[in-house]
Amino acid sequence: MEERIEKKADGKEEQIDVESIMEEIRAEIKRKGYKEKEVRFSDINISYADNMDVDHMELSAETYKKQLLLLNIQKNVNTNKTLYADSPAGKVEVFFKKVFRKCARFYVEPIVSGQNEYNETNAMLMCQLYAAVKRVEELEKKMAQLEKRIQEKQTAE
Amino acid sequence: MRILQIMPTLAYGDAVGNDALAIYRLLKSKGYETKIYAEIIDKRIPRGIAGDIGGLVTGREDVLIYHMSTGSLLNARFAKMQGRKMMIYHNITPPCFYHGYHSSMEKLCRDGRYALQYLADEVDYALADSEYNAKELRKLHYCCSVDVMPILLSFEDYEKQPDAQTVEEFGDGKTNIIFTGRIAPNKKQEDVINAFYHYQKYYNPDSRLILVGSYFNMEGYYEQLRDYVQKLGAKDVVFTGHVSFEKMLGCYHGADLFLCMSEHEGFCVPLLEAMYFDIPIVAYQSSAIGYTLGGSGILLDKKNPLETAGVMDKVIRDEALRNRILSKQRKRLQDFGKERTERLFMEKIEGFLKNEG
Repeated sequence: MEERIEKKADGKEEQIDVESIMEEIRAEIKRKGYKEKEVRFSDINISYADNMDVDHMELSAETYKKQLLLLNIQKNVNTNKTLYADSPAGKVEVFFKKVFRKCARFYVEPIVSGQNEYNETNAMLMCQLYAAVKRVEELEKKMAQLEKRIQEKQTAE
Repeated sequence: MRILQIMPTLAYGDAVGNDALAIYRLLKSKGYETKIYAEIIDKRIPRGIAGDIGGLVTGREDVLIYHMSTGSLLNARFAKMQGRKMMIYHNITPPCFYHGYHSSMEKLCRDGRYALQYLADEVDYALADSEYNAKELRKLHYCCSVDVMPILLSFEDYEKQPDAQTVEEFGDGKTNIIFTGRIAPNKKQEDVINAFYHYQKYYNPDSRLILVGSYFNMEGYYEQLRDYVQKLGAKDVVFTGHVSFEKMLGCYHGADLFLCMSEHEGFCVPLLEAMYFDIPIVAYQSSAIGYTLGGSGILLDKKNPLETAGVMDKVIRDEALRNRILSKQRKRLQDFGKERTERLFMEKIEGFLKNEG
């Protein structure tokens, strides 16, 4: 391999010629036909949602607000639910459930945390959408009033 | 007069925590009355060094050194404390890196950056780990003097015995590529993996990538990285997770090249670690990376996994080039030697005390 150490006349060493190394590498890549694998990191973890039948939904700010309030209550998944016994050996059963819960915590909590992150993002987006829905309703009302006025004027003429 | 260090969290083993402990020991050795105060203190911190900030009352004669590295209510509280105020700015990850991965961290970083602006006319002196960090403070029009002061690092710790099992595990003859750092989106481990995949495919199938660092609180990003490894088809990619210091030493002992593709670092202590263990460095030029390398290592100005793979191969196989890189790295490492940095720190702090006194 060709020497890359360049020395000045006074014996001091110069910087490594990175650009020249890169040119050599680019030439080698081209010569040997190396190709970059087309797998994008940003494409990992895309899930395909089921198609929702939205054809029969009507726009309503009132309905939207109700759903939004419900979403706000539901959005946080709780990993610390109260444990109940289903059998006569009540306290013992709860004890073992608690032990099991503690053992599984390392696996479950990161998943739940991720789900809560997603839910929070969604809830915030839905709030933004509510503002848009309200605005659309206002504009629809205004449009209806204007159409009525136009009709009245046309009738009068 | 007391010299008190203040920070939201005194963690054990991270760069900011280690810096605070090194400063504590230095000031103590020079005869100053000193202590560290934090909201959260790691249980492994030896007793007597740190106290709960809850009960702290400061006076006008006290010198307060604030370690600025994250969002916290303490940032605003610090501004109101009595005493002469110094800041050591370690940098705060831009919130955009956490977008989509961790909304709480994103908010924390955003709050931290707001606080950084707020403190621009509240501190009397600022030290920055790197020229990159110093530039940020100057851009925010910090009223006080801003000087560069590298993190205090004790290389004695690195002379400890590495974990024998780790040394054996990675000493099987494969070429080991290493990157050390938390699994975090700003560190761009995906670009390290991508470059490694192409290196393994085109240059050296008998190679291994070791990613040393905890993925705690970044499980989403970690899972995405694991899926990425699978989809690319890279073999022998090891995520160590959180490891003991001795195991980390073991990882370094077997490494042939340190590859860093990070897009945000305030200083990057692992670069010094690689220099210490005589591991040639190939790094993407971003943030403080260029400053810390100081002309050593190989700096890439763009991310092209094929070209990076080619550089990796060249550095590993070309002995003359590798020796040249290591020679420059050894020389650069001397700039961060304990004696030199301690002397520099004392000059700066005593200069501040003299001016303020």
